[in-house]
Amino acid sequence: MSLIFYVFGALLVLSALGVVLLKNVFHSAIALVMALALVAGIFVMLGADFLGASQILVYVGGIMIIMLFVIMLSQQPVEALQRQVNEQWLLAMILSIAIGAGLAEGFKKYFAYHFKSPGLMPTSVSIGRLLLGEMIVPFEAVSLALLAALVGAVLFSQEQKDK
Amino acid sequence: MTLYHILALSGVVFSIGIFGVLTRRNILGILMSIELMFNAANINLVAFNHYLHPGNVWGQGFSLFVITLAAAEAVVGLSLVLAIYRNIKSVFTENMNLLHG
Amino acid sequence: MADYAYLIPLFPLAGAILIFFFGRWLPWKGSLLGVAAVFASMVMSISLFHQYLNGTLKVPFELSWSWFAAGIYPFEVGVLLDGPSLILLLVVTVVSFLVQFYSLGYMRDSPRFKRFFSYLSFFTFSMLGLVVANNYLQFFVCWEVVGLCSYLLIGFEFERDAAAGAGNKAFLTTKLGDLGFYAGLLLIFAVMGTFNFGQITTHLQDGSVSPRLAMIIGLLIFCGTIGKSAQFPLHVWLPDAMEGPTPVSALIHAATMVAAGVYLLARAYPFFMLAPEGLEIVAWVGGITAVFAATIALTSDDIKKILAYSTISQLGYMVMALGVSGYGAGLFHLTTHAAFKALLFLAAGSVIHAVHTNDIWKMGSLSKQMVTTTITFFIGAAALAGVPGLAGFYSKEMILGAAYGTQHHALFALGCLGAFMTALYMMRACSLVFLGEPRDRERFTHAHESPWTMTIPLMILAALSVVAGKLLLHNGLINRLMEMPGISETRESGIAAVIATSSALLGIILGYGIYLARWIEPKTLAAVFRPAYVLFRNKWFIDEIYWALFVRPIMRLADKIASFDYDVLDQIGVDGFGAATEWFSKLDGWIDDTFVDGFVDGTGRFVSRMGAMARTIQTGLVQNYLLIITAGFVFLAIFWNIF
Repeated sequence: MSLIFYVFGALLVLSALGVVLLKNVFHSAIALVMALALVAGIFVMLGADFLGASQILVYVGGIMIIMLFVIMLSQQPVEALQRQVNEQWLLAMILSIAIGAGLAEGFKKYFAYHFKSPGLMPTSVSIGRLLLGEMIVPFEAVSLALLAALVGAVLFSQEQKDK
Repeated sequence: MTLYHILALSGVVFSIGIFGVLTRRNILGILMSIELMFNAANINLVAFNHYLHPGNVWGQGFSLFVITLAAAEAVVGLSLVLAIYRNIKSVFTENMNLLHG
Repeated sequence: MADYAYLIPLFPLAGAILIFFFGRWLPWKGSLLGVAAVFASMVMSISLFHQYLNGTLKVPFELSWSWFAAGIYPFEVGVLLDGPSLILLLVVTVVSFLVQFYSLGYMRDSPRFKRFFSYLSFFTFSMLGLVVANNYLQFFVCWEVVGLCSYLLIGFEFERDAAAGAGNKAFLTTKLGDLGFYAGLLLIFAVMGTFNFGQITTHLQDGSVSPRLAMIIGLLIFCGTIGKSAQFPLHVWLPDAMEGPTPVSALIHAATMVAAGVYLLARAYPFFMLAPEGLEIVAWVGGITAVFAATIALTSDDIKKILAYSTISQLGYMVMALGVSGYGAGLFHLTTHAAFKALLFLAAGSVIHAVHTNDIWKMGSLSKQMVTTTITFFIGAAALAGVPGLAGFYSKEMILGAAYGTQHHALFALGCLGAFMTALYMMRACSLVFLGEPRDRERFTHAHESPWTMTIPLMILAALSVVAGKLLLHNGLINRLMEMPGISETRESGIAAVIATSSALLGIILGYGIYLARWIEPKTLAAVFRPAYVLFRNKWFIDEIYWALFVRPIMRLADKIASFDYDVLDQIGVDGFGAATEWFSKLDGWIDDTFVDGFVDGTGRFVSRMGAMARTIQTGLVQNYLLIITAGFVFLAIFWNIF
């Protein structure tokens, strides 16, 4: 089990780096797709099968597709070899390393917990029960949020009507 | 592998995501880095759920919501990018400084 | 009664104050109040004299109150009643009363009627204060107030330049004499430490004062007399003082104020008794004045001026009398002179009132129109000339007798010459005014007798002129009154009397001859004695000499100083001020531009620079903002973990 985890982990880090460092935004989108898939694998490894599935479905299958659409819609002819990192990269690097180190330090006490294999029971039932039981209110609220997002998206992407 | 390794992993991804938000010139790159950060948080949630509360699935439920809202936010953001692109014909952040002093 | 003697000066003072402030609401504008006040004083004076006569009052009688003290020296006010003061009280109060009574009619048309009476009462107060004074300080204060009243009354009609100028002249000339008087007072106090008459006499008799010093003090005091009693050379103010209303002339310049000088001399006699050489000087001054003034009176055309010069001349007689140790004679003459000179002035006033002119050449034959005035004037003139039987005869005889008796033959001769001229000019005046042919027909026909308020005083004074001499000589009264240790009683001298009387009669006859019977024409006489005539007529050019020597240089100096003030000081003041203000305002403007505006502009510029600097933070790039947020977050995290 650890091996799978380390492999997935390494690949995840690499693809994350690809997202932020690749010059071509299309390439970084593909790297993101890979990262998302790997994340889904980690979910499954941790026993969240339903979540992993919905991750693939929603993230990879939905969001990334839309993002790719937009990327392609906003292509610019001469942008290929310009650098993609702006001038404040040094300070940003320092800060992100600091945050990462801080997080790593903060989580030190969780060394004690060891891996247990997940049961073979699918979690859909439990999640269903949870969502429609104790988390019913956030569930409904999220549907409202989705409605708002829908309306907003349609509104913003309309063509301007010139009078 | 202990819980710590997973958390360390998600921490690294999170910080990479931060670096991307602060650094990418392409606005879509920023949006993608934000997705990275969301995912790192999700990993954290599921890991805690698995290691500390093996009996229930609260962490996963919460994670589901995160995914949903991340999707909604990505949609809105992308439609904004389209609107911006229509106006200034560029996706680079250094051109988006109309509010400068 | 004598204990209340201090009321005598205070009645007129009260009258003066009340009239001045409340006269508007009193009946007859307060003039009756003035008359009543003086009447009260007169009654008191008469009763005091009566008490002296029947022995109830012992003289010398003194009252004294402490006035103020300077360190260890006390100063007093007081009342001293002795022979001279009793007699003078009578003189002053009687004449004041009659003059005030007379003024009721004479000053009726004056616009400042109320003020006239106030001034008259005030004068009476100060004169009485002087008479009863028992020390030199009070005497001097009242002396000065008397001078002030004289100034006010002479210049009463001050709208006329002549009157205002005459008031000034009187005041300034007498002030000159007062300087000497004041110096004398200072010496007295320095040497003797007191002003009281009695104490001074004691000091002098002790021998603590050297004769030389006594003579100096005496002569200094005599300076005051020269000024106030119009002796030569300070006589120049008295003729000009005739600009004042006639009652004023009668009261002040005939009977009282000018007599104050003689009274002062009498009071200062103890000094001279230690230093007889001083008396010589006094006598000669008096004698010269007597003759000198008479010469001018001979050729004067103004009736009041004739009487003025006559007054100067008679004062000279009084001074001369005191100078030849005729202490009683001088004061006797003062008393009789007060009576007939006041009479003459009031009668002259009556004449002027009738014909509206002072010029005797415009009068004539007024005896036909104004009987009472004529008779009283003639009585007065006769008394003045020394016609035997009338008051003036006795006093003048006593003076000339004293001069002869003390071997002052030159002065005796001068005195007789003066008597001759006195008779002559009075005869001249009488003839030209009342007798002969009217020279101005219109004035003559308009002339009429004066009202009773004016004629009654004339008649009273005429009566006094007749009897006063005889009364005072009765039982040697005058000698008792004027007793002075060290002075022998003045006796009449037979031969002196004869010579004196004949000179007077000669004058009368000559006057008759020239002006009535026309044996010689006045013009012929004038031509024959031309140099003398010119000299006399022009008052011996004294006024002109003084003007050239003293007055004009001082006025030129005053002009120069005034022009200095205008040109230099005003220039510096005005232009300098303007230039300074201009410079200041320029400086102010520069300060305003540089500092104030600079401050204001600078503040603005500073703010905009700060704003420009602050603006650089707002780049408009969201990633910059996010960077800052993240940096802040990391910073906070680190520091919260450290602390």
